[in-house]
Amino acid sequence: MEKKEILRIKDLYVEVEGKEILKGIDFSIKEGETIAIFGPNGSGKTTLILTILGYSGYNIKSGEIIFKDRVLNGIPIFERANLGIGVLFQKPPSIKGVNFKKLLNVIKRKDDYFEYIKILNLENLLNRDVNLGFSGGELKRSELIQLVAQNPDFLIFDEPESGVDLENIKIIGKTISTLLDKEKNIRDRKKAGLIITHTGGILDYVEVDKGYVLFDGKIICEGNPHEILRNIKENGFKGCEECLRKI
Amino acid sequence: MSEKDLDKILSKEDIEKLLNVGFNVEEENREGSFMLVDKDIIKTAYKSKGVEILPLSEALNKYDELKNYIWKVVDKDKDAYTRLVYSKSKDSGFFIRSLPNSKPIFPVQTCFLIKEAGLTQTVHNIIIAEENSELNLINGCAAATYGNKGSHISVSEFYVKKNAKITFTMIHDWAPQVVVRPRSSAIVDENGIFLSNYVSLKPVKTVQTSPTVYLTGKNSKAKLYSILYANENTNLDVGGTIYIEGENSSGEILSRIISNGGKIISRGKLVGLGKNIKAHMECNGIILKDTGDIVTIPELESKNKDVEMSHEAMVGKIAKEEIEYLMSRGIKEEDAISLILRGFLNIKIENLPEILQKSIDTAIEMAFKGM
Repeated sequence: MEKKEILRIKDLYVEVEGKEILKGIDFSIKEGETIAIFGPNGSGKTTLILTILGYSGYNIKSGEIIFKDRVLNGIPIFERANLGIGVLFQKPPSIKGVNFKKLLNVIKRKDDYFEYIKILNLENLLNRDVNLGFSGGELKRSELIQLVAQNPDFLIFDEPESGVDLENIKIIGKTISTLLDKEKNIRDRKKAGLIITHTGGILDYVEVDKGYVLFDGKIICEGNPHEILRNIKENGFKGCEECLRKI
Repeated sequence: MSEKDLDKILSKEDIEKLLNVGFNVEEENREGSFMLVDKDIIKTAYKSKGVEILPLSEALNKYDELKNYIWKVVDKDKDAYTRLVYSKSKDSGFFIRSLPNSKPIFPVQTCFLIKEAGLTQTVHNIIIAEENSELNLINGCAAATYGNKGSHISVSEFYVKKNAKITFTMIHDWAPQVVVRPRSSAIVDENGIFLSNYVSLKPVKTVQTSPTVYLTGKNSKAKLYSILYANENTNLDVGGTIYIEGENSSGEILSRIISNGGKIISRGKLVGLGKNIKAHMECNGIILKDTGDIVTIPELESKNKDVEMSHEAMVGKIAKEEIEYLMSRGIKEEDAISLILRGFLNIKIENLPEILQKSIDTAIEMAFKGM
């Protein structure tokens, strides 16, 4: 059975502070599918995520974001989250005075996140203020438990491997795989994922179906994620421009 | 001890309002209570042998030595308000004392309620923690009717003896037309600790208060915390002064303030007089509307070279990044703002008994309910 499309980005142009950052982005993700977007710093990866989320300051000049058959343009951030979009931020802010456990209780949509407190080794952080003074690995694990509690259908991971040591990346990679239904048979997978990465390190831990290269606000290449990554490692992102002619 | 029928005097709403400022009419988990409604002392009761609670007028008749305490740490000629209290103070106010070596588990609760429209409530209180004793006091002040005018003018004199500790937590819930002028001072002896928390989050016309603490004994400590929220037409002028005289003593003034259109002046003055003293002041403010106004006035004064004194202040807007982060977790914008503001006001007060911390938490929750 053909899987349903969960997200479609249609000819998206986005401006930030008057500067055009995204210059006509097109792609789609189906249920049960995970894609990776590679790109150098400044290519527009974070802009893409924050535009999908509906953050202020990311002005859509033209194009559409369609999620579960609904046009998201103009819909407030919290409604998008409640429609089933969740994100692991690369650099989440800390919130002074707001208890981490209390936040989890506010955002939870299912109770079985408790078991992940242990898996993600978060017992000692629960009574702290949200993200305040957390180390690199702790921040990622904090973001992950929030995603587990939120239980979204479409998960975005912004540089999940950045600033994380080897020990942490295993736990993080395994949790991401679980969240994306990777342990299930391909036919039974429902959760969709978008992983932003510029080193590609996370691909050793999470199975990805398709890769895209974002360069100067445009998608210049798509294909097998491992091949793309090998090509980037050999020839740099410049090498992907060769690929541009192919699509 | 005297007690009138509370049900006849207090409405259900009054009782609930008092509970939100920390006064439990049922007296659960309290060592004792004192209640003043308008000008009448409605309740004076205590269970513990370690504390004594009396109307001040009665205490003055009973204890001759109180003349060494009354108007000794607050100057009766300080201003028009102290003079007014001086001329009327025989009527109302309390005397509370913890006896030597006593450490009651629960706090003593006091409340001042204004029910009569246009009333000027004047109060004089004396609080003493005798040597080696501890006294936790929660003082809830409220106006019964939201629309009424009124004023509350009070003088409080605190005495912390050797090795003693007073924790004083005052929560206010007045009304938009009420004028509030507390005048208080404390004197702290060797190894003594004076901890004062002031919480005002509800509408009030004006509050002007600036307690003065004299740390006279060696190794003594004082901390003054304020948690303030000012809606439009609310004016808060809240400060504190600590004179640090005793060797190795320390003073701290900390405030968290939010202006949602109202005016807040946050003052603090630390005076280093003794050897090897420490002093720190911190003021953090968030301003939510252009019509709001926040002024911070920190002062440090040193008369000694062996001091370590510092202050920091920050006033800004609420961080958009934090609001949007919480929204991305599915929280509505107004709920995200309320969560962040409550967090901002949530100072973790060191060594504060749990019941007092809970009363402060409740006051903060109530202030943001339905915001």
